[in-house]
Amino acid sequence: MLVNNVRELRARFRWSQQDLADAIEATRQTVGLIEKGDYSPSITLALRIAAAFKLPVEEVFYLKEEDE
Amino acid sequence: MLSRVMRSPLISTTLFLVVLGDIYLLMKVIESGEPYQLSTTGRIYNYSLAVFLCLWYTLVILHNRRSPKDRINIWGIIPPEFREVDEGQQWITFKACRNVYIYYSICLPCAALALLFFPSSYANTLMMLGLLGLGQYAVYSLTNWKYSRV
Repeated sequence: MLVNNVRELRARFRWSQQDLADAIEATRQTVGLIEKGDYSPSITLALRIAAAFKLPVEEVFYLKEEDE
Repeated sequence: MLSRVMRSPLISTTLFLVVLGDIYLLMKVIESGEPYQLSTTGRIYNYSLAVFLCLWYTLVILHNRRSPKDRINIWGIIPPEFREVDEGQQWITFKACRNVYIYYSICLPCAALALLFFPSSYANTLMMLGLLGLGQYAVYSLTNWKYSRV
C-alpha cells in the first residue's frame, strides 16, 4: 500500500492545499485525494510533489505492508 | 463559481428532462393527428427551452473565456460535467463512470422487467427512461461529491 507524508510536509512548509496544487500544477482536489490516500498519483506527479518539497521521492511516498 | 455551475450535472439533468418532455409533446402532436398544432403549454415549454439553451450557450462562451485551460466544447460529445483538468479529477471521473456502469448493469434489466407490468404507452416508456437517466446523474453526482470532499 502506498502511503505518503504530503499532509505533514505541507504543514511543515505552512502551505495550503492550494499552494501545493499551484506548485505542482494540479488542482486542490487532487492534493486532497492524495493526502487522504484515496488516490495514488502517477510517477510524474509524485516526482513533482517531491520536487516541490525539495526532497527525494521516497521520503514523500513509500510502501507499507497491509498488516503493519 | 461559474465553472462549478457549468460543470454541474444539474445542467445536464435539466437538459435531459427537458428533451424528454419535448419528445412527449411531439408524440402528443403526432397522436392528435394535427401536425404542427402545439398547445399553449407546448409553446411556452419550447420558448423556455430556447431561452434556456441561449442562456447556456452564453454562459459556456463566458466560461471558456475565463478558463481557457478548462474549456467546454459546445459541439463535442463529452458531457460538460466531466472534470478532466488533471489526473486526480480524471480519476474521480473514472470512478463515477464505473459506478454509473454498475448502476446500468443492474437497473436496465430491472427497468425492462418493470415495463412488462405497465400498460404499453410512450408516456410510460419515457417515464422509465427519465427515471433511469435521473438515477445515472444521481450516481454520477454522488460519486463526484464523495471524492470531492477534501
